[in-house]
Amino acid sequence: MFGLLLDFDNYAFTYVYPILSILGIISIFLLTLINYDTPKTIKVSVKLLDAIKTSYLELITILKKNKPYRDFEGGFMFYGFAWMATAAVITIFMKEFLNLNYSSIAFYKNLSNIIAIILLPFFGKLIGKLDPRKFGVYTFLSLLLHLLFMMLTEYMPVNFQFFKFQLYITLIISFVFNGFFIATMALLWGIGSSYFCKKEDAGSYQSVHLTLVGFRGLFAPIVGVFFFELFGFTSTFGIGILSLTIAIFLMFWSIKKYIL
Amino acid sequence: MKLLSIKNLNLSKIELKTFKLHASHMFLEGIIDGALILNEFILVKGLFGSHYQISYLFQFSVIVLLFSVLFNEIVKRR
Repeated sequence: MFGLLLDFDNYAFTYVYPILSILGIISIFLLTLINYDTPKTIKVSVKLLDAIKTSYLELITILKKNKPYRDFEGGFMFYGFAWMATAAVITIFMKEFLNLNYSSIAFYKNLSNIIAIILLPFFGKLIGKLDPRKFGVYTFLSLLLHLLFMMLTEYMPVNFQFFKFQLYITLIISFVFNGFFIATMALLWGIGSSYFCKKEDAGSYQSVHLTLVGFRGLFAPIVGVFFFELFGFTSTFGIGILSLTIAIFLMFWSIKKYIL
Repeated sequence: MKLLSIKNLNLSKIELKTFKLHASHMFLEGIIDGALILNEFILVKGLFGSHYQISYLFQFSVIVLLFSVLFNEIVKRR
């Protein structure tokens, strides 16, 4: 709907975004109304900088001692680099190369999300039955196929117009795989780390995961645009596909070497 | 439809209140996230953003996670 509105009025975001911000405040306020028992904590007088230093040292210790988890995060580094490097390039591709309108872009994005919603219950059951590294293989493979078909659109731009929507066959397939990726990554990113540790350590392991996400965010998006400006779309998508292939092989290698 | 009825979950009063509040929160979050799907495209089509500006927009949303340890320690001290 927002896509259709933007095609009608290119500057609709100037009044929609303030409304969204009010909705955001109301949404957070609703969470504060939830009753909960505050856990009793023992106050320890440790300096802030010392506590932060201890947290980061704990991060390094976890990665050194827990080898399956280290490999899991290693795979995530390669996947994360591929995803972050290509995210901005996909935006540029859809705007500059395909020249899609807002409605068409919204159609592809909605297609992915609808597929993800349908698949989430199935993958939710599956993640509990599989080694999380093997589940990671499915996640990385679906993103790899999303990038592959996105790249193929450049060479096979078969498309047709359906009302306001410009539909490319390979792009539809690409975003179907993106739907698989969204469904699997939502689970793997959110709860994947907890399969490598005891219940009481889940918070520490998730904080390791989040910190590494932030770390690769420092360079990956800019590197992606840099590669695109030097080598073009095909090479940038190719680098993403290569990085994901390494991530997949790392997962398989780790599963054989370290049993959870 | 009977399967989707909240009554079949046998929730206590507090659980029901929590469920309604959380469901309302997620409903609003869904509207916001759905609209923000087009954020980068608005930057490049409506605001004529450069290629690097698109990457910065994406980057800012993930870089904050680097400070998650700092924020966690600050909140614990309140």
